Order: sequence, then C-alpha cells, then structure tokens
Amino acid sequence: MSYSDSLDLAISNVKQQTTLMQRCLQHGRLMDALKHSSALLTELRNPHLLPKQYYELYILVFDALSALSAYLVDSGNVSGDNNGSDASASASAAAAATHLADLYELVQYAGNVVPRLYLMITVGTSYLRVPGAPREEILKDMLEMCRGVQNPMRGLFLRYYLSQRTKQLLVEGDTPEALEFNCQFLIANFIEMNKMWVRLQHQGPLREREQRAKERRELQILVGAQIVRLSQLVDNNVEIYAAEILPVVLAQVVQCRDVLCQEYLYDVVCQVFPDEFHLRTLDTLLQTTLQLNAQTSVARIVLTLVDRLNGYVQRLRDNDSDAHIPATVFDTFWEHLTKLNEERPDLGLMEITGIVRGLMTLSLTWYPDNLQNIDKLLGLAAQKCNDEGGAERDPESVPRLVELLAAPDASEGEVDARNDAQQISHNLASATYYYGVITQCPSFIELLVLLDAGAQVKVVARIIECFVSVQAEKPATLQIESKDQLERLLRVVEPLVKSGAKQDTVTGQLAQEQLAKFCHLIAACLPASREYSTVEKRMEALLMLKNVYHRGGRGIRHTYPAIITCMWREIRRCAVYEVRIRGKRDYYRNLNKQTFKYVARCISDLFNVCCGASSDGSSSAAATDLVYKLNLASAALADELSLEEIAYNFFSEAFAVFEDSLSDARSQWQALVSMAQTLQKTRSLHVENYYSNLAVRTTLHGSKLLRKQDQCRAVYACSHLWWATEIAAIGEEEGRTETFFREGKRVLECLQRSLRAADSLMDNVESCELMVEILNVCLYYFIHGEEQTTHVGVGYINGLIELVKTNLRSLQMEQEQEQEQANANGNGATVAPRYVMALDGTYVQVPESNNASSAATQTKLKDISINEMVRVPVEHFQRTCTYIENQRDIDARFQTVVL
Amino acid sequence: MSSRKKNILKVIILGDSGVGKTSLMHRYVNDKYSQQYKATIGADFLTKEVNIDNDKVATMQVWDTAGQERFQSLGVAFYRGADCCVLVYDVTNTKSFQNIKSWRDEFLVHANVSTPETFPFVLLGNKIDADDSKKVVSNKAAQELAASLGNIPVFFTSAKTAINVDTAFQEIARSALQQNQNDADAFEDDFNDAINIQLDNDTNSCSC
Repeated sequence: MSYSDSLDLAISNVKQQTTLMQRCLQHGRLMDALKHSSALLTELRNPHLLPKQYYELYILVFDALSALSAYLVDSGNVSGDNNGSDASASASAAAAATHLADLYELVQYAGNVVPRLYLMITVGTSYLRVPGAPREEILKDMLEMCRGVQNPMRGLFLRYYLSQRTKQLLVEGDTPEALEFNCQFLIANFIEMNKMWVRLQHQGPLREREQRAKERRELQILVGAQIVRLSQLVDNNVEIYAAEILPVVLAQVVQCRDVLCQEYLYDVVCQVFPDEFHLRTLDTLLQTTLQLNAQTSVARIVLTLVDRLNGYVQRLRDNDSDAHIPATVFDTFWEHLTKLNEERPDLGLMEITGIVRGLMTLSLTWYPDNLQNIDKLLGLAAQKCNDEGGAERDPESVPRLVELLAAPDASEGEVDARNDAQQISHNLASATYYYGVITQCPSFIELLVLLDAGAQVKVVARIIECFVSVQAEKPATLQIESKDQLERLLRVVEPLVKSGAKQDTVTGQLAQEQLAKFCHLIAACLPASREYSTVEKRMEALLMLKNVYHRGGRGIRHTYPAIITCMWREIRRCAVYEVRIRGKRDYYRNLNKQTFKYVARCISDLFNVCCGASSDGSSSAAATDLVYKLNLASAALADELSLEEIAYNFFSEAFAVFEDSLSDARSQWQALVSMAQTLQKTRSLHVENYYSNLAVRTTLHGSKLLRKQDQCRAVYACSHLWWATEIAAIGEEEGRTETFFREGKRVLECLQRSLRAADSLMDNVESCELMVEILNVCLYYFIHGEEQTTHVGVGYINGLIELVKTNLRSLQMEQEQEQEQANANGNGATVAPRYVMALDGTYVQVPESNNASSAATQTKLKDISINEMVRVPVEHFQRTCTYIENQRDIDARFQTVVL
Repeated sequence: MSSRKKNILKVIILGDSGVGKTSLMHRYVNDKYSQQYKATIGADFLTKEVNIDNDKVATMQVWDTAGQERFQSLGVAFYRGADCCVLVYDVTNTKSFQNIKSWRDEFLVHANVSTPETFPFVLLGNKIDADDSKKVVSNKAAQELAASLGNIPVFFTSAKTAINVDTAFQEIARSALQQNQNDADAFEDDFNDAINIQLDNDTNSCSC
C-alpha cells in the first residue's frame, strides 16, 4: 500500500477509510476494521508533507483511532456489563485481557513500520485500560518499539501519539515507585523526541537550513508537549521536580548545543511549571544558562523568567495584599548577572543591557522601594558600556540604554491603554521613581554621561516632561529637601549644558530648551520645599543653577533668560513681603537690591559671552537684542519697585548696548521705540534729572538715525516721552491725577523736528505718508490737551493739513498720467489691490474686506505700480479727514479745523 | 446497531490567555482546582464519560488550548471535527470579553464546520467569585453578546469555587451530542453516494 500524492487526496482517503473502519466496527468485523485503519495510517508514511500538513492528517488519524480505541475498550467491558456476578466479571475481564494481548501481538505483523506502531499503541493503550494488565511491561515495550522510527518528523509525531494515548493510563497508584516509573517513561520519550528534533537540523542539503529551521520551529510544540506531560504528572511535587525532572531536562538542553532547543525548552519550562517551582530552583535555572551555546540568548531566557515571576507577584498581591514576598529573588538574579558578565565577556552590550532591563522590572515589581538594586544595575550597565568602548560602538543599544534610564517600567501598549486618571497616577509614580533614582543612585549619572547628546536629551526630556506634568497636576509633590538633592538634580542636566556648549545643532538647541524648562521647574518646586522657603535660599538655588548653566558657553543665550525671569519672580515676591511683613522692610529692600545685582550679572555675562566679535553675525545680533530687552525689562521692574537708581543703571546699560553693539538700522529704530515705550511708563526717575537725561538721549539718538523716515518716526514717537499718560494699574486717572509729567513745548519741538525729517525725504510718496502720520500724532495731542499746554493748536494743524494737501496734489499729477495710460491699455476695470504703509516703510497689501482669516501680506516695492503707491497717503489722508469730521460732533474745537 | 456505538464528543475551549480555560477543564473533569498558574502550550485534552439527559452516554473529549498564539506552532488543525466550541472570558478583564468575537471567528475559519450558522457555541464568563469591585464585564453585556452571536447559551462560572461549571458542561455536552448526531446523519447520506463510486473504481483498476 502506498500513500497519496497530495494532501487533499490523503485527507479524503483517510476520511473514507475511517468511515469504512467505523462501519466494520459497527458490524463487529474487527479484522476488517484493522485493515482499514492500517490503510488510513499509510498516509502518515508520506515523506513529502510539511509539518503543518502532517499535523492536519495526524488529527484526522487521531480521531479515527480514538473510535477504534473506544471500540476495543468497549468490547472488553460490554461482556462484563451484561453479567451481574463478580466472578464472571473478573472472568470476562480476563477474557478481554487475553483478547487484547493477542491483538497486541497480531498488529505487530502489519507490513509497514509506521502503521504498525500506531496500531500497536492504539491496541496497547486499550489493553492498559483492562484491570490487571501488565502495565509496566506494555509501556516499556511501546516505548522501546518506537525506536523503530528514526525519521525525525514521523518519529516525533509517533512519540507524540504515544504520549497522548498513554495520558491517564500510566502506572497507577500514589506510590513513589509508580511516580518514579511514570517520570522515567515520560523523560525517556522526551529525550528521544528532543534528539530527533535537534537532528532534523542536520538533515538534507545545507542550503535548506532556513527551511529546516522553520520546520523545527513548527514542530517544537511536540517536544514541548512532553514537558507539559511531565508538569501534569508531578503536579505539586516540587521535590521530584527539583531532583529528577529539571536536572534531566536541563542536561538535555546543555548537551544538545542547539540554540533553538535551548531557548525553546527554557521558555516551555518557565511556562508550564508553577512559579513556586521556579522560585525553588531559581539558582539551578540561572546557573545552567552559563553553560549554554554562545549564540543562545541568555537575555531572552532571563526575561522569560522575569516576566513569569513578575506575573506571580502580581497575582499574589491581587489575591492577598500582604502576601509574603521572598526577599532574595533579586539577589539570586544579580549574582547570576555579575557572574555571567565576568565569565562571558563575549556577550554584547545589547545582551547584557537586555538582562539589566529585565532585572530592573523585576526589582521594581518585587521590591519597588529598593533603589539600591537599581543603582547596582545601572552601575553594571555603565561598566559594560565603558568596557565596550562607549555606546557609539553599538548604536542599536542606545535606545535600550535610554530605556534603562528613562522608562524602566513602561511598555508602549500600556501607555495607549491608560485613561487620564491612570496616566496621572502613573506620572506621579514615575516622578517619584525618577526623583529617588536621581537623588540616591550615583550610577544614573555615570550611565547618562556615557550616552551621546541626542540620547541624553531624550532621557532628560522624558524626566523633565514627567516632572512638569506632575507639577501641573499636584504642585507640591516634588520637594527638594536639601542642597545635596539639588546638586544631584543639577548633575542630571549637566551633560546637556556641555552638549549645548559644544554644538549649535538642533540637538544642542533641544538640550537648551530642556534646560530652560528645568530652570522653571526647579523655581516652581522650590517654594513648596521646607529647605527653600526663604527668598535668600531660593536665590542661592538659582545661583547654583546659573553656575552650572554658565558652563554652557554660548548656550546661555537660551538658558539665562529663564534664570533671569525666575529671579524677577523672586524680586516680585520679595516686594510683596516688603509691604506685608512689618519691621523687615529694609531687609527685603536690600535683598532686592542684591537680587538686581545678580540679574545685572546674568545680563552682562550674556553680553560678554554671546555678543562678542567671535560669534557669528545673526545669532550675535539676536543676542544683542535680547540683552537690550532684558535690560529694559529689568529697568521697568526696578522702576515699578521705586528703585530709581537701579532702574537708571539698567537704562544706561541698555544705552551702552545700543551705542556699542546695535549696528543694524532696523533694530536701532525698533530699540528706540522699545526704549521710549518703557521709559514713558516709568514714574520713579524724576529725581536727579534721570528721566530727562534718558528722554533727551533717546530723542537725540532718534534724530540721529541713518534714514530720514526712521528719524521722523522715532522722533514723533519720542514726543510722547514729554506727555505721560495714565497707568490705571497704579491708580492714575486722566483728569484727576495732578502729577503727570507733561512738557508741551518739548512735544512741539519733537513734532517740528519730525516734520523737518519728513519734508527732507526724497521719496515724495513716503514723505507725504509721514506727514499724514504726523498729522495723526498732532490730532492725538490736540484731543488730549489744551492748546496752551500742548502747544499743538488749530493753527498748527491747519497749516499741516494745507501742507499735506499741496504735496498730495503734486503726487496726483504723477498718478493721473499713469491712470490714462492704464485706461488706454483697457484694464482699468480690474479692482486694484489696496495697500497701506507699515511703520518700517514697507507696503503691505490689505486683505479683501470681511475676510479676517487672510493675513496681510508684505509686498515688494517693485510689484506695486506708482498709482497704488500714491493711493496709500491719499487714502490715509481721507481716513484722517473723515475722523476729523466725526470729531466735530463731539469736540467743538474741531469746527475750526479747515479741511 | 448504532445505539451500541458510544459517541466521542469533541469540545474545544477557547479564550484569551489567563481567563481560566485550563482551570475550568480541570474543575469539570477532575473536580480539582489549583491556585498555581501554569501557562498552557499547544493543545491538550482530557476525557470524561458523560451521561446526557439520563439516557445517552458519551465520551467527552475536552480540548484545552493555549491562549497565546506563539504556543500553537503547528496551527490549529485540532479544531477540526469539533462538536461544540466553548468561548471563555474573564469577568475581571474587559479585553478578554472584547476578544470573544474574534475567537469565534477564528474557530469558524479553521474548524471547517459544515453549517457555521447552527454550529453550537457556549459562552462562559469565568471568575465570578472575584470581588464585585474587580468585575468589569456586566452580565447584561454578556447576554447581549450571546444574543448577537446567535442566541448562544451563556453561563457565569467560577472554576475556583465550582459555581455553575457542571451546569455549563451539561449544556455543552447536550449541544455537542446534538451536533454530533446531525453531522453523522449528514455524513451518512453523503457517504452512501461516495461508496459506490469507490467500489466501481476498485473493480476496474485492481492491477495498479
């Protein structure tokens, strides 16, 4: 008899033979039934089937043989059921035994070995069910006979069949001897199967290695099932497991020197035996990994074990919150890891850090409060990293090292599944963990400094992100309890400081961003900490921060503003104390003076480091601008607190920067406008001519700007310096406050100066526009003051209007000529875009009306026709006239303005 | 004659890892429960003689399966020939409940059953002994799911405290027996046609 050519034919043949067999059984024709069984078993001889195909056939065969087995067992028992008496029951049992014994002999005459052995096992296991059958003998015989099939795949399935059939049918009794026998039986079967499974790798041509490895991975479950059987057999008996089973299985694992086998069987042992067994035999399990094949991943094995034991603790805690947790589990793993690290220098950074990562989750799960374990692990990772010549040598390991430092317990899937409340509590736990590790584990820094800049930023960013979110959710959570702790925190960010100093790259800038965030974070945490409850202490902390950041070289232009801002905040706090706490007024005032000195120091550091000649132009200009503005803001703050001397000093510093370093025309103009804005709002400087000195100086600088239009605009902006306006926040009110600083004569001087500049401008369109602008400023003063105080009267305004009109007329002559040309070309009908002039003299296209979303766009001069240009001052003037007309209803003085 | 033939009823238990499939099987077959956790790999069965409605005797072959796919390296050919499929979820684990439908689909894809619409499924919500605070799948949700899957029976069980396990398996056995007989009848019809062709074939080509 031969097997079918294809799987489909084989399946239909097996089904057909099964039905025929069942028919014969129904009619009691056992011999014919056996013939059909033999025929269907022939299909299992096919050497061309793939493992999955073979398994499909096997399942059909197994079901068919189950029916046969049921019949055999039944026919033995039926005779017994019919008879009532015990004597005849035992007699018929004896008869059934004889019958099955004969049958057992008989099926051994089947022609082919595979069908023969399947039949033999089917009959043999039926025989085992008969009371009084010679069990040990039959079992040993079947085991022995299975040696007849040495082809790995067929042999594996045959022995799998043996183990499936003999289930629940091994030697009975609770005696140690019975258990011993059964263990030996299963172990023997396992050893043979494992050998065949390993041998499969070495069969056939070399080029089919991959294919064979795949087949072996599919067949592995047959070998694994033997371990399952062993686990069912030993049940709770850890003694026999530790003494008889595990050593034998591990011996096989070591001996076969096969990677797949070693990794798989370790996995199976971990899965199918109870956790208590693993705890008991942990040492053996781990020590044996030292003898494995060099290519076998010890990390994978350790991780499997760790996962398993972590699950155990989880289940233990779920069931009983104060369950006893064995204390030495981590130590056992640790001992193993250190030994492995010593004995296997060939293991790469990935492998070792993989284990470190596993042990970290173990320690965090089992002993969440023990950070010494974490310190040890990070230390070992750092040492390995050093031994390997740094993480750069093995780029793959970098994400792993980042994980070690920044995400000890997060798996991506978990993160997705969290809801908000879980996320908050997780953040809280992580923040506590990070804080603990940073302040108690020196190895953390040791490992951090070994990473490249990008990875360092990643780690620190993750930690800062976590701290920031916790600070937002629960403000007083993070408490910096001592200077020492603060120093340790600073040590974490130190690598970022250095990386910012070295390179002006994206990574460097990201690092600086994190540093700025960190500064704000620390400043926000400080007031909640007992150690830092005073301003002095907090300033001390900020200065520590400054000293660290100072090492960042030009990076400080990103980090110092954060420090300065935090200092300003301390100054404001201090000012509140100054008012509220009696008897300490001078103390707080002096403290603030001191703090301003630190601010000044920071600003001048910034200037010295970032605005030097050595730095490149654009970033130097930006830094100069920054220094200038920080000076102005500090001045404003000092003025607000009535520290006039200090305010004056910051203003003079700002002037110094302006005069020495601001060379670009545009930023000069903008700087003067900023200065005028800030200065106009000051109130404390009206002593010792501070204010007028500064105001005059500002105006003077304005009138000396290079471009006439800048001069014009700067000077009319400076006119406001002699016309203070109310600041509601400090209780001033127009009409009531008597002490406004106002000098109309100076205002008029400024306007005159401004007008001269506008008039002397060569570009007549812009000149006209500037005059309209000055007209608007004049109207402002006209509205806000009497003529005798502002010196801006109707006569002046009328004169200005006349001037504008004259100029516009000459402009329009130019325009009309062009208009005619445009009409001649026949495109006069198109709606021309509208433009206005920006303060810097550029033309800006106004978006279509009622369309707020479209932004105004700057337009290049060459894209605008002279017509469109002329329309700018014309329309501006028209709008101004409309305004004047409207004002006539409100203010009678406007009646005299001639349009 | 067929009344003498004892049926083998093949029952497959499916569900996520850790829902208690093995424990349910052990509770039913051996009336034992162990606190110890062992992961199942591959597929394994236990048999039990059952007496259905006090008149029919059958051998029930209960197949316990691995919830984790990586432990089914040879595939799931053993689904074939099943007479009933038991879908188990854990009442303290929403995900295991959400996956019930995909387990059912997976079964139908691989089991190759003749009439998927009428194939008997039974839904079990296990671990009802757990604290109420830990239960996250309501009985109502389970009943709605059972209704949507074709009005399949649903039982709330505890393998640990033996609640409802026997009752559930009684129903499973009954469904399985029904299915088994339906299939046998259908096959009998088919086969009577097929056998004639085979016999013709045999007589004509015996020389090969």
